[in-house]
Amino acid sequence: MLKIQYLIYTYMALCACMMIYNIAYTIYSRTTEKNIEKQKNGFIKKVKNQISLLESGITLAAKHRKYLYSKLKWVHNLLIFEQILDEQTKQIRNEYFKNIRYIFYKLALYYQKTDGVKKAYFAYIIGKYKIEDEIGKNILTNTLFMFLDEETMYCRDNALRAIIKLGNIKNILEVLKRIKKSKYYFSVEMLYENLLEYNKNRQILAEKIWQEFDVFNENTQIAIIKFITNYKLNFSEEFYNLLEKNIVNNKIKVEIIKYFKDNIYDKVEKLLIDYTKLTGILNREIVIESARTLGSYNSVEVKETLKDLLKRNDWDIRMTASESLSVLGTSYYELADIYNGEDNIARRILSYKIQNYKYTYTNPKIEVS
Amino acid sequence: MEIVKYILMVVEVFFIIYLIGYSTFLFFSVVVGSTTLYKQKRLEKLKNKLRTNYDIPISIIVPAHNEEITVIDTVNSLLELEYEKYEIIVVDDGSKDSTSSKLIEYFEMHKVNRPIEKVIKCKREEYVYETNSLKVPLTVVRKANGGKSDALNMGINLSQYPYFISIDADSVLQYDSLKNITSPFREKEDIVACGGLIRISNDIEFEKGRVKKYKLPKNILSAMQVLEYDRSFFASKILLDVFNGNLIISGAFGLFKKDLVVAVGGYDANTVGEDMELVMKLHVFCKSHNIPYCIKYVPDAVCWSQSPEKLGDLIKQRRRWHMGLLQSMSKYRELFLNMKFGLISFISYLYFLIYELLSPFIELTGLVVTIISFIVGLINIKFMIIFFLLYATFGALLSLTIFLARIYVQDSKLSFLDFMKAVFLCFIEIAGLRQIMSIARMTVFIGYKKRKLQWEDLTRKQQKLKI
Repeated sequence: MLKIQYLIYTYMALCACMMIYNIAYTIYSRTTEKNIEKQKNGFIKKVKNQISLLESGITLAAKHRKYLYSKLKWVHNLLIFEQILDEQTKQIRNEYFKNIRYIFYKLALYYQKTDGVKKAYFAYIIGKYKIEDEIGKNILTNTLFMFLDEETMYCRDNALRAIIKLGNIKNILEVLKRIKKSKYYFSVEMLYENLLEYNKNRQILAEKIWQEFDVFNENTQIAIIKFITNYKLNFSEEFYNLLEKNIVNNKIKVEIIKYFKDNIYDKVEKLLIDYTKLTGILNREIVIESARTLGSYNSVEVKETLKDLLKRNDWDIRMTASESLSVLGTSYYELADIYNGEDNIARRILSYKIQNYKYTYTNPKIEVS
Repeated sequence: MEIVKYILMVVEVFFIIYLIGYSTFLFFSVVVGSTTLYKQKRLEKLKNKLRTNYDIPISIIVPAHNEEITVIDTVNSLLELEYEKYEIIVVDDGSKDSTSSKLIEYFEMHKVNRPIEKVIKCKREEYVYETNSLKVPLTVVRKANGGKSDALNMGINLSQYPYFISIDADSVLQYDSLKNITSPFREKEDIVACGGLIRISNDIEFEKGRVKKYKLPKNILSAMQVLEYDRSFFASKILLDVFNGNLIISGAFGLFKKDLVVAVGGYDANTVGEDMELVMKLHVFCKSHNIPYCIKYVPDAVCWSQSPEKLGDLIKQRRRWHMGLLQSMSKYRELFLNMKFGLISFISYLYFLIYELLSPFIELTGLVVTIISFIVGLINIKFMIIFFLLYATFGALLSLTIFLARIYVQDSKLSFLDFMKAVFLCFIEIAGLRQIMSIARMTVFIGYKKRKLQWEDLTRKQQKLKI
């Protein structure tokens, strides 16, 4: 019995340690927060002093650079630094960064050796303030490329975003190629959302990417098509050729079909009609998306095709075809054979979708309180 | 006499091992739980989070039965969510009050003749109302009474998006809950379901889906449940999540991949623990068909739910939960010590079997043996008291540890009075409420058949919401 008691006492001791750890951590965090506030004031003073000196035409003191480097090696200070910078105007910030850029090259070398979480934050700072390499040097770029191979997903995400935000097309292409070889998973959403951060000439970026489209992996290709679709870039001819040659897989086909919904391209209509004739579970998505996109192509043939789709067994195909027929503004006369036909489900789905469409457009959205 | 002595000794040793086993599990849960929370806080602070503007389309299904007091608030709170692409489907499962008519009137909905494909079997619909005039589409369907599972199945049949969320009609989703619960889908390829954190909303005021001020509920029973939720559900779910071993995603807030749920036949209408049954079914289905899958627990996706304030209501709730547990555990008994299922079998299933399903019976046996030992003079009273006190202190400390860790990470502030209340209540909870709940859970079979498909008829209060 005594032994069991000892075991229990050991448990209690462990538990007490855990409690102490929790309390200590809480106190430490609170103290750190208070210290951050105190340090922030000191920081602001020093940064502002330096900025006034800069405005008077005096170069930034070497002492201040050293001071900043020693401070910013600590990630908590980097957090304070971000807060200080956010309180400054863009003009002041840019001027200041011009003079301290060199510190970030040194910091990049330092942060390369830290853990993934700190690396991620450093990459975030680079991306947020668009801190660029000097011409002929690639320290920051290389650091960001290194971070792409980091196990921490957030680090990869922040590094990817930083590279795209910096806007160097050559680097962006290089990143997208590296993703194919990476042992880590880059989701379509992650790639797509980061591509959206590119704010220079998107058509030029898309054209450059397109030249090497075959080199990328499937997720990257889908993200690129989504990016092009989102910004309605002019890629109708290229996408149409890709569909016509039938050299891409179904997932990519579906994304391209979606592009043609808002980017009307007459040549694609026949291809979409052909797609709706496909059968089998593997082609289901293609049929559904083609039916949806055909809602933007008003012709007798399209309407007949959509009516044919109402007879399919798959309810999602029927629903989508009905939606497209509603959008196309089809008259009762044109749909009389469905309304008077024997397919009860087709009739009900069509009536519901047309009613729904009319209702939505006669009742605009309201705020409920 | 020697034989009795021997039997009692064996029983005594068994109980000590049993309690140490339970404490060990709790200990690991709390260590892993609090560490995960601190890590999460650090990640958030240092911008280690996927920023997402692209929303995965979600259908939110709200099964409701006699929820006229809370349902409008629930839908209003759902309309406040910071998310773009979702729809709300309220399924009125043959309510006797005016649940659906209140919604129809309040949101000025119109009747539609909507055909419903029953990809999953469920009872017939009586009518469907819709509106597209709100931030997102809202659908109300009234159907013949068939229980919560049946209502959820109807919701799945009506849903138009590839993912659905099931929530209770008395719950409030925090403004960022959808963004957070969908985050694992961006991080991993094979996610099939995600569970959010259920927190107790009693006495908490909300403004636009945000907590205005956090405090412990005034009601002692609810306050004790806050501590119990943190220790028993929250911490253990974080631990089981480490090896994809969670067997429950609370029915109050869970996200599922629709095509997989349809493939397994949806919710089982013959069980009262539909949430656990579905998750166990997904485990078995995916493992049996060699489908790579992951079921995630997302502690920063928060759903606020009302807890029972009356002991009678709490007993009703726990009996229902226990019955659901029994049904699911017996239905998927192939998970018991089966190498094919790995740690899910040897840790998750075993934990639920010994420390959840059988615990009331084991604890009752323990009580009986203690009384017999006392009568025949075989008990070391001093040791027994020390042991019990140590066990209670240990449990209370663990509750407090995870509670404070969560408070620090998610709420930041707790008044001194509430802190003292928590310290006091964690002892009462471990050495009082737990025993009452054990007795309640043991009576689970009484009147079970009659109530098998009935909804939980608990006292509801209006949430303190400011839109």
